[in-house]
This record gives sequence, structure tokens and C-alpha cells, in this order.
Amino acid sequence: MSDSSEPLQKLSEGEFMRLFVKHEPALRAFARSILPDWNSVEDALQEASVTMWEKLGQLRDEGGFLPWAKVILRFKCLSSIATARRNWNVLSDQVLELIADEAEAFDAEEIVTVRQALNTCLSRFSPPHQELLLAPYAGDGRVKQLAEQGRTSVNALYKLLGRLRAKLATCVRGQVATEMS
Amino acid sequence: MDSQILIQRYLLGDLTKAEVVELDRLLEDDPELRREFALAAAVDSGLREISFERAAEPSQDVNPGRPAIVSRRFVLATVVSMSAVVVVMVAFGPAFLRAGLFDAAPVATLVSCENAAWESSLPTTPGSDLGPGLMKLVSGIATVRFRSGAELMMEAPASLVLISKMKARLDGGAAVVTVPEPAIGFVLETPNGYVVDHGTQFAVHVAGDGKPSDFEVIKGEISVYLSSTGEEVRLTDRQSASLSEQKITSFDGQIPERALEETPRIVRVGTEGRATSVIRNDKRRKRCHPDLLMAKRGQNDEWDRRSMFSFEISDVDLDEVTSARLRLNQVPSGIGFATRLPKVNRFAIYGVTSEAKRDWEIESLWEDSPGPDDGVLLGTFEVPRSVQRGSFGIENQKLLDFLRTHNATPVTLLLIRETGQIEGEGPGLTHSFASDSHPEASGPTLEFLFD
Repeated sequence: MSDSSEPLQKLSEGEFMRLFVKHEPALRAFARSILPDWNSVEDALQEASVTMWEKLGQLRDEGGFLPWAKVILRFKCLSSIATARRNWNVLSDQVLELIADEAEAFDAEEIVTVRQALNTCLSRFSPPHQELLLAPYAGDGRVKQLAEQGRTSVNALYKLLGRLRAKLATCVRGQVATEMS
Repeated sequence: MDSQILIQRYLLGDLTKAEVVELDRLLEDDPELRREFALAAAVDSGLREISFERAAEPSQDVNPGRPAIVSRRFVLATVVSMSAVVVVMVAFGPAFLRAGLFDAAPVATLVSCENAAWESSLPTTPGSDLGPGLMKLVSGIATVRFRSGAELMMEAPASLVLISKMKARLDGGAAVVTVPEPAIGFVLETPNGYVVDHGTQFAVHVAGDGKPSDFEVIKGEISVYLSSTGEEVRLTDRQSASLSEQKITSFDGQIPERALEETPRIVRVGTEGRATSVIRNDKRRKRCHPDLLMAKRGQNDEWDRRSMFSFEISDVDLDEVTSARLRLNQVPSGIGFATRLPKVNRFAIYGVTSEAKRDWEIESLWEDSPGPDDGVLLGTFEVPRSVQRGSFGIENQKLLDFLRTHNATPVTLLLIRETGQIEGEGPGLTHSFASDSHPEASGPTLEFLFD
């Protein structure tokens, strides 16, 4: 940990990268709360990382990295919303700002707790339901492929997916509440 | 629609405009729901990570393709946006910033293979594009070039996980990594930490199983990080470091060669030529070959084959033995077609107990030789039909117990193939294992392990 009275301009590439990699899951989850799709999230995270490197001199304390990085990332996310609106049905700017306020309050520890709770909760689902829950990230047409295998429609499967995800989120919320209490 | 389901379907990109308006109104009025939305985004993020992790594991048959980002309704948007990622990456910032960001597109190309054999969910033909995933090199040498320009030449046995164009993980094996200028900042993770390359070339050896990983800079500069403490060591030309779970040890020059591990005491006993095969209906033993111990179960039993071998073990102090293993070395027989067999073939080893059948001769015929009814099953092993060389056998307590109770006279073990052919015409492969007279491979061996 650096002396808080000293600017962190001496932070090396390696040190910055260690901090960035350490907080990357929390930053990605934060960007996801604002942006409607994963490509926009990755774009914003990439652009924000460049800005963070350029403005590293502003950072006074390694412990303040995550809140500082979120401020930069929030700006990048909100400024790319207009582009995202061309392709997606997106919440209003006002509501996205309010959500960002909530998500900004999540600290690194909470994100780790969520991830641990997620592992526990996911294991409670049957293997086919686990497969469906992970399908949206697993390649173009994976949900469609599962629909064909299960002789059902993609629409029906997305409806089921919505219900399963809501159930999963409820489980995670319960676990996190127990853990943090 | 339930507000929780609205949130989830919004994150899936599956809401109509009207439904988004409804969700917007609910979120505006309810701070608790906004917090749940933020949590749902964190869960979404975690699910995506788990999906990528499982995609990198070949045993988890969740994802046959490369991990990618699904946009159900806006496929075009995905393509446009991904190209934007590439532009941003090329145009701005120090290269190391690219590390850790997941690329959905192919991250590397398999440049070349030398006698390479793979267990991989990714393509293994030279020239193939490689998405994120696991590549397990069983034998040979292979070179992977990442889209960043970094090149990794690995030597079997090696296990490499491709993560992005700027990041990979070596879970085991040896590799030489060459990093040209555009790929400076390339990250290679290893079990206890990771290395960041600041340019040119370094060698790495990951022993796995909790043993230290070794790094050596051939030319240039790297940083080695220890995950448990965050400690960093910078290495330049001809400097080395060894990374264990708790510490980094650096050296000037090469790491001293490690001594070979002390192996436990093993006593090996061969058959001394007491091994043969028998073939049903082969009255004159015309189809037997002295170099090969064969096993086959055909479609109509006409030319079934089995083998037997005996070991003189009266000199082995079996009370001191902690485990026993029968080792058989498979060799090609050149008889029949592997494609006419099931993908996995199961073999059984019996210990012969029948007094009458113990005195079999090398020249015995099928009827005179011991069969499964003349003994007890000691264990089974499996051989994929695609494999025709390798070391197989059984190692279990049943074998050791059998040997302990039957060691007064030479013990006879019997090899049969339990699985037959699949439907269709044509002869299936006859499996064969080396006898003592085989010119390349060793004959059947019993290995006794002592503490």
C-alpha cells in the first residue's frame, strides 16, 4: 500500500495492471448495470482503462482505485448509451443514473460474495437448467440449438430462462444477505 | 409481468419497447428494485465468467463452440460493436491494457504442429483460428500465434488455456514465448501467479501438482507476479525465477537443473517367455504370432482370441508390497478395422485359480487353455479404438490379494476383450500387446511397489 500523502505517479505498468485485473470483475459488473449488452460493456471498459492509465496521477491511494475507476467508467458508459439505443430498447437516462448510483455502492467484497453465492446457487439447479442458464454466453445460436434439441421454441426457452434467472437471483440475494449480515 | 422477470429479460435483451417503459417506471419509483437490478447485473456478470470458465474445460460439454456474446435480436450490432473493440485496441493506450479483456472473436492461430497429438475442444489443424478455450498437447510440439503477435511454442505434455489475444494460462508443460513490440504486455498466467512480458522472449516450465514454475528470460524483460502476496520481480536477459505458492526466488543465469525425483522402490517381474495367445477354431495355431498377445471378441465368436501369461513371484516379499500393477504395452496388430469397434473397448484381467488349467502350454489350443470360468475377475481397463499404442493395465487391491494367495506356484493371468464389434460388415480390430519377444515394446510386467 502506498503512502496516502504521496501521488501514485510512480505506479508501474505492472502495478497498475495488477490493480486493474484485481478489480476487473467488479468494474465489468458495474458497467453491465448501465449498458444493455456485453459488447458495449467491453468497449466502455476498454476505453475507460485507457483513460485510467492516462489519469493515473490523480490516484492518491491504491485503496481508492475501485471508486476512482468507477467514476471514469460511469462516464464512459453513460456517454455510450446513445449509441446503444440505436440497437437496443434501453431504460431512460434518468433511471440509468439512479441504477449507477446503486451499483457504485457495491464494493469489491460484495462482488466476491455475489460470485461465491452464485456458485452455490447455480449448483442447486439441474444440469439441463444450468446449461440453459449459461447458454446465452456460450456462442451464437446456443439457445436456439438447445431449443431444437428439446423440441421447443426459442421464445419458450427465453421465457423459461427469464424465470430461472429470477429464481437464481432470489437465491443469490438470500445468500448475500446471510453472508453480509 | 413480475418485476424480477422483467429485469432478467431486459438483461437478456428480450423485452419489447413497451415492457422497457414499464420496467423504467417501476425502477424510477422503487429504490429497492434498483438495488436488485444492480445485483442482477452482477449475477449476469458472474454467470458469464462461469460460462467462459466451463468453456475452457473439455469435460464440461456445455459449449461446443467458442464463447461469444449472444445478441438474440441484434446480430449485426454485435459484429459492428466487436469491430469497434478492435479499433479501440489498436488505436489507443499501452498494450497491457488489453490484457484481461475477453475477446469473443478468435484470439489466436495454430501456426504449426510437429508430431502433435491433442486433447482439445479447439481445432488442431495447423492454420486454424482458435477461440478462447483449452488446448491439451499430449505429444509433440506446437506453436500458437496470438492475434496480438505474441507467439507461444509449447512442448508436450502441456495444457494451455487461451483467454484473449493478450492473455493465456499455462497449467502445465514447457513453453517459449516470443513477444514482439505490438504485443508488449502479454500476460501468461501459471498456477501460482502470472508473468507480464515487456518484450522479446522468455521460457517457462510449469511442473504442476503444486511444484514451482520456472521462468527464464532469453532476451528482453519480464515481470513475474506471485498471486498469494502480490510480490513482483523484474527479470532481464538471462535472469531466471522460480515461482512457488508462497515465494519468488530469482537467479542470475539459468535455474539450476532440478534433481530427478527420488522414485519409490519398484520390483518388476516379467513372464520370462511364459506368454501366449489362443484362437478359437485355430487348430494348428497358424494365426498366432510369437511377438503378439492378442485379444478379440468377434461378431460370431469364430475367431475370438485371448491371451495368458504367467509370472514366477515366489521370490517377491509380498508382505512388504504396498501395491501391485500389471502393465501391458499395446502394439498394432495390423489385423481388422478399428472403425468396426465401439469407441471405447474394455478388457478384463482374470487370475486363474483352476488347478487343472494352470499347466497350460505355449502351444495350447483354445479348448485346453484357461478361460474366464477358470479364474476370478481381478479388474478391467479401457482402450479407445483410436489408440493402438500405449501402456495399459490394472492396479488394485484385488490383484495384490490374488498374488499374495497364489504365489506358491507361477501365477497365471488371463486377458480377454469384453467388448465386441459394432453392427455392420467387416472384421473388427484385433487388439494386441507385446510379448517378451516383441522387438520394440516390453512384454507383460508385474510391478510391485514398496514403501
